Amino acid sequence: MITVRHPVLMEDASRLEWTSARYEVHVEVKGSHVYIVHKLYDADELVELIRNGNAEWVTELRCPKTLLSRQECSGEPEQVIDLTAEDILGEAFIIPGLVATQEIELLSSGNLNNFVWPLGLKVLVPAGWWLARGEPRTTKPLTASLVRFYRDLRGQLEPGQMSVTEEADGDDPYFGVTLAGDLYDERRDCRDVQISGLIAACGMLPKSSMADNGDNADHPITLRLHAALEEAGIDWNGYSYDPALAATVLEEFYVMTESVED
Amino acid sequence: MEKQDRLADAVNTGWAKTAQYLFEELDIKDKDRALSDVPELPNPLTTGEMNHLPAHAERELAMRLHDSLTRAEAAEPAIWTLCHAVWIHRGMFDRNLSEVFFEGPKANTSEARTRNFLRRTGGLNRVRGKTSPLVDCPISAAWWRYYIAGEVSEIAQGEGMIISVEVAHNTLRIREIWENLVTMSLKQVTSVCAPRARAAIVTVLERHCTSMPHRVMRAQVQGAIRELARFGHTHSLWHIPWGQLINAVREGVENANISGSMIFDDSNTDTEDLPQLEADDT
Repeated sequence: MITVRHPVLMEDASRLEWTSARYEVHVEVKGSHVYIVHKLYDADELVELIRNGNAEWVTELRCPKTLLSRQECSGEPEQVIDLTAEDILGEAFIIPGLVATQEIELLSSGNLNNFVWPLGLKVLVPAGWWLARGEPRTTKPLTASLVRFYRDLRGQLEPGQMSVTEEADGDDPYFGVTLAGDLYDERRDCRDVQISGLIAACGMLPKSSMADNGDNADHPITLRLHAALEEAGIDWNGYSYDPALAATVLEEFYVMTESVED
Repeated sequence: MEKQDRLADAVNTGWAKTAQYLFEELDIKDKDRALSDVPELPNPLTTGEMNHLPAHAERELAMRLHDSLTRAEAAEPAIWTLCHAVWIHRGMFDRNLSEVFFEGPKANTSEARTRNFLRRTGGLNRVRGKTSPLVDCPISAAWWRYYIAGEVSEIAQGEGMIISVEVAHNTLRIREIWENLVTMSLKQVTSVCAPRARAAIVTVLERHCTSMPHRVMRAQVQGAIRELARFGHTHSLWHIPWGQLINAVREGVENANISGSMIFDDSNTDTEDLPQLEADDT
């Protein structure tokens, strides 16, 4: 297949076709839905294509374990995707972008790189071409990537005890929280157990492979963690690092109150 | 070692003890509910059928199970292991369970036989990874092949190309096609999870197989998938015109021919020849 060059606007700005245009996309996973908002800056040509119906916003939901791929397409920049429990097992990915719905002519303006496409040139873009592409995101909550719970099969823990160690699943670091049997049986419903495990994991961060001088300092999970904690002003390499605060920033801890019947 | 011995003892004893062993390993507390919830198989299966399910038997079995499982359930090895526990309890396999589940390539050690058992009853995620339920367990693989065949047929017909579910299913039953399609979709080129991409691949390979009925080349299957994946870097596989999608797949097949690196399908090929699969994360 002969490779033909057409402009693509990347979210990470890694391509040079567009001189000053930007594509931003905000993706938020809330419960069983994913909310996507696409934004374009200094890309009037692309905005016009969307307005004319020649391009549309596309967000793909992909779950390799279930061989699933589903797309949400629209002319509106806000989209919602259902994370149907029946279709998804394990990690799923959100891949956003803008697609040419048919063969289109893009008039080269000052926004396109004029070394490649001189001013005024009509650039013929084929149907299906990615006009803009966003970074793939995972639907897996950060805490689910960070912590896994195991039953104490060796009988080394007394009832009510837990221990934590750093583990790796292939190249992916995480913390294994081993629970005594009585705690393990409660782990799914008991927030105390869940948050205790998360606090223990956060306590290990400064000494883990995800620390600044560790082997996983640049791992995607580490970068996500840093980003999430930085927003709350938490630096796990700092002297005053508080793992309980870090854990409850990542995942809120709430106390279930029982209703009192009259 | 103790677990392997217990499994071997259970299998050698018979249906009831094997089923009980599996219920205990799965930590099933409500056995009655499991017995009522798991769907029936249409017919008991012989050892020969479990080693190689005939096409019509596979379709009949898959059609029976089709609506009983969601996609997520069908990708979960534990679900299939539970189903097998119930089916064993119901006596749906030969009395000689050892022949049905222990035998296979390299079945000369207790560990290998245990692995064969676990693979054939639901998949062995920790060793064989995410593809295990789609490839190793005959019944779960049957479910998935039929599911994908239905999807392929519907999409191809929507694009004006007639390929029946039966024909699509027969194409997917070719081992080199199925195993490479699912393995590469899961691990290397997840973009071909797009149903249109799969439909194009199966449609082209079906016609290719028709012209070469006795040989399917692994390189051609992989070439088709890789070419489509390359295409997917620049084009949305959902939006690109169907004709271009088909041409991209054909190009991948033809380029594989030109390169000459052909590995002929060998029905005796051990599945361990597949790339080592990473342990699954749960």
